[in-house]
Amino acid sequence: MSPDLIWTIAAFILTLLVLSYALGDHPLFKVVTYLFVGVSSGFIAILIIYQILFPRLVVPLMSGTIGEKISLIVPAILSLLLIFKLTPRLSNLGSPSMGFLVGVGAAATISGAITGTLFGQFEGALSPFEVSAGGSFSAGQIFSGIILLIGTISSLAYFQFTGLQKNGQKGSRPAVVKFLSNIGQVFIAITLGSLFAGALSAALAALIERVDFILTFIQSFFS
Amino acid sequence: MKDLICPACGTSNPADAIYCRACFRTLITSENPTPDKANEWLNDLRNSDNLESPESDSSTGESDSTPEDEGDIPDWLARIRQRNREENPPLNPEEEPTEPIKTGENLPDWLNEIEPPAPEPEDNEKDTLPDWLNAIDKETASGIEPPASENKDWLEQLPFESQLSKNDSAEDDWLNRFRDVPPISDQSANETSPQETGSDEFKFGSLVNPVFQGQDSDTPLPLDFEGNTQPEPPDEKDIPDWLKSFDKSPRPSQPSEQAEDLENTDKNLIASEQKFSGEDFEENGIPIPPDESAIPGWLTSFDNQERPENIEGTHSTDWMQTEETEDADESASLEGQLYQGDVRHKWLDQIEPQKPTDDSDSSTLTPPTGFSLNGSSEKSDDDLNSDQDQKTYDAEQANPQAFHDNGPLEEGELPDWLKAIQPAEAASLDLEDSDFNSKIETKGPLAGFQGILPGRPTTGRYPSPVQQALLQVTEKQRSFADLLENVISQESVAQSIPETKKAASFFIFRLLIGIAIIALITFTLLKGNTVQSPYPGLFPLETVSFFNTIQTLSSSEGDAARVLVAVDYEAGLAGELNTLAEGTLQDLAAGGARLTFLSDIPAGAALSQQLVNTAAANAPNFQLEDQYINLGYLPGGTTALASLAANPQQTVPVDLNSSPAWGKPGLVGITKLSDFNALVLITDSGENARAWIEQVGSALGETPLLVISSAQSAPIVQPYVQSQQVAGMISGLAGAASYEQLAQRSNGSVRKYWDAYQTGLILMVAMIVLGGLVQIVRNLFTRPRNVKKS
Repeated sequence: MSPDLIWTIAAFILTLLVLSYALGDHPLFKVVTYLFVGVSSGFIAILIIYQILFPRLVVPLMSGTIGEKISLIVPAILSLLLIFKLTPRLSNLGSPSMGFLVGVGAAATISGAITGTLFGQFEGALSPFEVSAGGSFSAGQIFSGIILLIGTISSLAYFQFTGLQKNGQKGSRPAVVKFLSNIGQVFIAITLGSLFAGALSAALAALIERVDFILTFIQSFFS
Repeated sequence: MKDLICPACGTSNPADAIYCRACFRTLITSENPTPDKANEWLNDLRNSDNLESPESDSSTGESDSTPEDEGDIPDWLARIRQRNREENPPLNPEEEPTEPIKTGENLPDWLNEIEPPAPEPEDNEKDTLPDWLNAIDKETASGIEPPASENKDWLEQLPFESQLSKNDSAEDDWLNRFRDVPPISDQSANETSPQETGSDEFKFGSLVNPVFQGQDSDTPLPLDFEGNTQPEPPDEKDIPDWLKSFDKSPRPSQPSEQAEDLENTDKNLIASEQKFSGEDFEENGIPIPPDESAIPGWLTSFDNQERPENIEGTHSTDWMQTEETEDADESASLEGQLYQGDVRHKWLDQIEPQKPTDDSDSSTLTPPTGFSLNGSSEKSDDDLNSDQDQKTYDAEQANPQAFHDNGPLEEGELPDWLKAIQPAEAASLDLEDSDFNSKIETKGPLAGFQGILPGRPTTGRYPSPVQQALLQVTEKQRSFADLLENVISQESVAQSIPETKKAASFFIFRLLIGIAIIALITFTLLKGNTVQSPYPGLFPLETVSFFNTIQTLSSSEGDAARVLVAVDYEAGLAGELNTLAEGTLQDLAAGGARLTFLSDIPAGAALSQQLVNTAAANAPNFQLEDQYINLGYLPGGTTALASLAANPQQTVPVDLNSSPAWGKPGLVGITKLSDFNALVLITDSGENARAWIEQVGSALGETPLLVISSAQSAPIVQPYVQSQQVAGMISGLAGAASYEQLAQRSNGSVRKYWDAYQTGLILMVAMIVLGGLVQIVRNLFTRPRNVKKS
C-alpha cells in the first residue's frame, strides 16, 4: 500500500467525519477537530523552527559574518525575552519585545492604511469624474462614480452617532445626516448581503470539491 | 504558720511579713482576701474611722465606736492606735480616741497573718512600721491631733515644704479637713461629695506616697526621700490653692448607673478593680462608695496601682505641674483617649455619687484645677490654652447643669458636640483600650499587676485610618450613579443562557437540508457533462484585466516572466482557491514564467507546493527546478509585508529548503518587488488582501498586482479594483469560470464544478426564499404577543 493511498484513505475518513456534523456534535467530530488543531500546531512549530529560527537566527549567529552577528544580536535578545511571557511572574521581561512588535506593527498598519487605502480610495472615488484627454465624458462612468460617491458618503454618514442637543431636548442628528444615514443603510445592507453570499458560495465551492474528492476516491477504489 | 511566698519574685518571707524582703513588694498570697473580704475590712475600716471623725464626736460627745466596730479594724491598726493613745493622751475631749480595736473575726486572713503573734515593744514596732504609717495611725486611730513633729513626718518628704506654714493651729485645720469626711453610713444625711472626698484622698495619697508620683507602688519607699527640715503645719492662707481645692472643691456627681454600664463592658478591668477597691458594695445592692479619705495613703495606693495612667493627669505638686504644662497637648490627647467610656475605673464610680457635705464650703473653695479625674466635666488650667476655653470653663463651673443639656457629663463621656467631631478612628481605638488595660504583666518588677503600664502598642494595634468619603452629589447624579451601578452589577453577574429547546423537527430539518445539498451536488457531479449549464455571458472587467495581464506574462518572449505568487489562504478554502488559481498557474507555467511562491500563513508553504504540483501536471513543459521557488513562510504579518516591500532579499533570505533563494535563476537580478513582472495574490481574507495592497502595493510601481480572491473576500477587495490599485481579480468560482471562458479552456476544474456550483446556489437561494415565505406566512397568521397580552 503506497503512502499516497494511505493518506487518501485518511483524508477520506476525516472528510466523512467532518461532514457528519450535519447529524450533530458527536465525539468523532470532536476527534477530528482535536486532530486538526494538534496537527496544525505541530506543523507550525516545525515550520518555525526549521524555516525561521535555524536558518534566519541560529545559523547566521553561528557561522555568519560579524555584521550579520551584530545585526542579529538585538533580535535574538528580544526573541529570548519573549520566552518570559510564558511565566506570569517574569512576563514583564517580555514586555519590551511585545512593545516593540506592537509599536512597529501599529506604525506599519497606520502608514499603510493612509497611503494604501485612504489616499487610494480617495483617488479611486474621483477617478470616474476625470475628464479624458480628449475632453469627452462617459455617462456610464460618471453615473457609476456618482453611485460610488453616494454610497461612500452615506455609509460614512450612517456611522455618525453624535448629535446636537437644543433646549434640553434629546440630542438628535441633523436631518441631512439622518437622510444620508438611511441611504447608507441600504449600501451597508447590500455590502453585508454580498459578503454573506460570498461566504456561502465559497463554502459551497469547498463542499463541492470535497464531495468530488469522495466520489473520486470511491470510484477509484471500486474501479 | 506557713511562710508567705512573694508573688513577684517567689522569695519565701516570714508569715508576719508585710513586704517581701527581696523585692519589697506587698505580699499578696493566695490567701489574700477575695474582693468581698477586702471590701469588708475596708468598709469596717472606714466605719471605724468615721466613728472617730470629729463630726460624729461632736454630735455624740464621745466615741460611737463599739467593740464590734473596733473588732473590724485591722489589728495592726488597732495596735498602732493603742500605742499612740498610750503615748499621747487626748488633748481635746471631742477628739477622744476610740477604744482599741480588737482583732475581729471578719478580718481577712492576710491581715491576721500580718498581725504579730505577740505584742512587741513600741520601739521595735516603731522601727518596723514606716514613719508615714505612724503618722496616719496618729491621725486616724487616736483621734487626737498628733504633735506637729509627728504629724509632719510625711510632709517632711514633700518638696514644697517651704510653702507650708508652721502654724500649729493652721495645721490642725488643714488636717481636720481630711478628717471632715462624713461617715459613709450617713451619706444620705451628709451632702459631702464622695467624689470630692475620694478625689481629695486620692490626691492626698499622691502627695504622701511616691507611688502616686509614678514610682513602683509595691516598693515601700521611705518617706524621707527628700528634705530634712521639719515642716510646720501649713497655715490656711499659706496653703496653696491647689491644695485647698482638694478638700472642698465641688465635684460633679456621677450617676452610679454609669458604673454598672462600664462594668458590663469591661469585666476584666472591673475584676482587677474589685481586688483592691471593694467593688462588692455595689454588687450587694449597697451603693456605698469607699470613704477613701479615711484610708491611709498606702492603702489607697492599691487602687492607684491599677491606674497609673490616670494619676499622671492628677499630679499636684508644682514641679510636676510644670511637667504637665510642658506636655499639655500630649497629655490632653492621652487623657481624652483614656477617659473614653470603657476605660473608666470602677472605683471612680464608687466615689462620684456622694454629695458635698457643706455647700458653703464648696462654694467658697476654689474649683479644683489640678486633679481633674472627670476628664470632660472639669478641666485643669493647663488645658485651658485659650480665652475661649477659659470662658467655657467658667460657664461650666458656674452652672454645670445648665451647661450640659442632659445633666452633668459622666466621666469618660464626651460631650455631644465633641462626639460629633470625633474622628472615626477614636471609636475603634476605645475598643482596644479595654483589652490592653486587662493585660496582666508577667515579667519584670510589675509582674502580677494588670494594666499598669500606661503605654500601649500603638503601632501594632492602631487601626487603619477610616477613609471618609462624603461626596456631595445631587439627586440626578445619584440616579446616574445608581444606574451605572446596576449596569455594572449586571455585567459582573454571569448571565445564564436559557437553553433553547430544539424540537426534533429542527434537527430533522437541518439534516434534510444537508442531505439535500450533498445529494444534489453528488448527483450533479455524477451526471458529468451530459447537461452543462452555461458560463456567464458577461465578464467582469477585473477578470478581463486579469486575463489580459496573465496572457501578457505568458506570451512574453525573451526572458521568462518572473511572477511572485503570494499564497494567503487557509487549508479550509483550498478546495475553492485551488480551483480558482489552477487555470492561472497553468497558463503561467505553460508560458514558461518563473514562479516564486511566498506565504504569510504557516500552511501556505504546503498549499503552494500543492498548487505547483497541480500546475505542473497540467503543463507538461513546466520545469520545477528552474521555474519554481518556494520561499516558504513569511512571519510577521503586516510588519513583514512592509519589510518585504522595502527589502525582499533581507526579509526572505532563504527558501523553503533553507538554501539561499536569491541566487536561483528565478530570482537573479531581483532586489525589489518592482523587479517582478507581476504579483499574484491568492487570498481568502479581505483583511489580508488589504494588508498586501497597503504595504506592498506602493512598492510594486508598474508591476501589476493581481488578486485571486475567494468569493467571501471579493466584496472587500472590489474597491481596490475600482481604484485601480489592483490590476485584475478573479473572484470566486464565477470569476474563474469567466477566466476559463476567456482562455477558451473547457476541461478545467471550474467546468467540472460549475454545474454543481450553479445547482447548489439555486438550491440555497430556493431554501432562503422558501424560508422567508414561511416566516412571512407565519407572521401573517400569528397574532402579535402584545395583542395576546392585551
